[in-house]
Amino acid sequence: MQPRLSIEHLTKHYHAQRALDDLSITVRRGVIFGLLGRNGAGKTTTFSCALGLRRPTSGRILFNGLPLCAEARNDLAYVPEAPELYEWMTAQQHIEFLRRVYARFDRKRACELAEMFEIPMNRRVRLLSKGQRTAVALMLAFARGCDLFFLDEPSSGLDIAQQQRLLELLLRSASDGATILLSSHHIGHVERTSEELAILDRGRVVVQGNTDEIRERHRIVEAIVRGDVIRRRVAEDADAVATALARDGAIDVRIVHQTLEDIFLEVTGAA
Amino acid sequence: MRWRVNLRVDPRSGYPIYLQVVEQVRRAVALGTLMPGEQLPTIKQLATDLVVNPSTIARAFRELEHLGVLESLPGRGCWVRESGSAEARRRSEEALRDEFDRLVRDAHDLGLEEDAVRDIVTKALMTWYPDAT
Repeated sequence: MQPRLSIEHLTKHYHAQRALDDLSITVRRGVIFGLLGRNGAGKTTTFSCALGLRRPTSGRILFNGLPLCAEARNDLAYVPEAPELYEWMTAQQHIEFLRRVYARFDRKRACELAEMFEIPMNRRVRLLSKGQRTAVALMLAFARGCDLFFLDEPSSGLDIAQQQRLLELLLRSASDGATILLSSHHIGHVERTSEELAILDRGRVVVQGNTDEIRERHRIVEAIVRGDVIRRRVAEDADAVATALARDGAIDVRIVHQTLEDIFLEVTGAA
Repeated sequence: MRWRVNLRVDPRSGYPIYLQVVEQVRRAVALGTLMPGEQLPTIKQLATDLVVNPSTIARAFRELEHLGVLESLPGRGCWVRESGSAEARRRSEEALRDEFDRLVRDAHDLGLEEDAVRDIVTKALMTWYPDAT
């Protein structure tokens, strides 16, 4: 089966600056795919290119194996980090408005989501907090009947309870078949929800794969050898390395899993 | 169905989530909280309860099957194997032995005398096996 989204050798230059450098990502249908990276690593540019909002310098983006056409656009939803809403309209008015724009817009679903995120429906958007604005954008995106979601920092401003609701929403949507690209600084959110992930650094993918397998591939053997503390990254051969070290007189030998945060800091050179 | 086993996951722990699930289920089976033949919640149910990706739970279940603790049939779900308790006990004992070995090694690396280590063990034995002669 064709992947729901496939980004192939994407490169994007802004004048002399290389924002994306030969970036390739494959997202299977029904998968939540986490995108991690420091600010400026290229997450938002990746989204903009994939959505056709910016023209890539080279590379291509395929949806179910095809380039994006106007019709396929109806199946995509994008929640940018700073959602664009009509400041003078209420959340309720946004719903009424989008019902007219999108034939598949599900009003009942929107109301359920509004209740879930506790959105004040009759207050003008300009009076809402950052978190409430994010919640409105999420509500509108998930009521459109889309099956592919681009979420750029969708937890910004949400309180802890709303964040939990968001994670539940993502998992439920994916189990109903939705494909979700999730960019987040909340590494814990990515770890919980994302079956696969990519870590971006300066426009390149530095790690990509199944979340659990990435954790296994980045274990560390720690030991003290002749008074020096050594740490060595091991993949499959952790036990063999540990045994060999102990045999050579190393003490305090242990194999430890790194947190995803440790791995992130290591591969982005920020440790 | 309300399930008696209280699983918890902590993404902040250095341990991958699927291994946290494996360990907790194995322990529940070894301790008899989960009995042979007992049905586990579906992958979907457990993923919903723990707010984690179902693929993580699926991986944990695969690992538990591989360890001989669980068995499953497509469409019928997953339950504790007849020999699951014994197997989980064996695995837990193995983990215990490794842990014990590591502790003694730590003591050795710290420079504790053999007699000092023996004292610690004897004291612990007297606490937990008071009836032994």
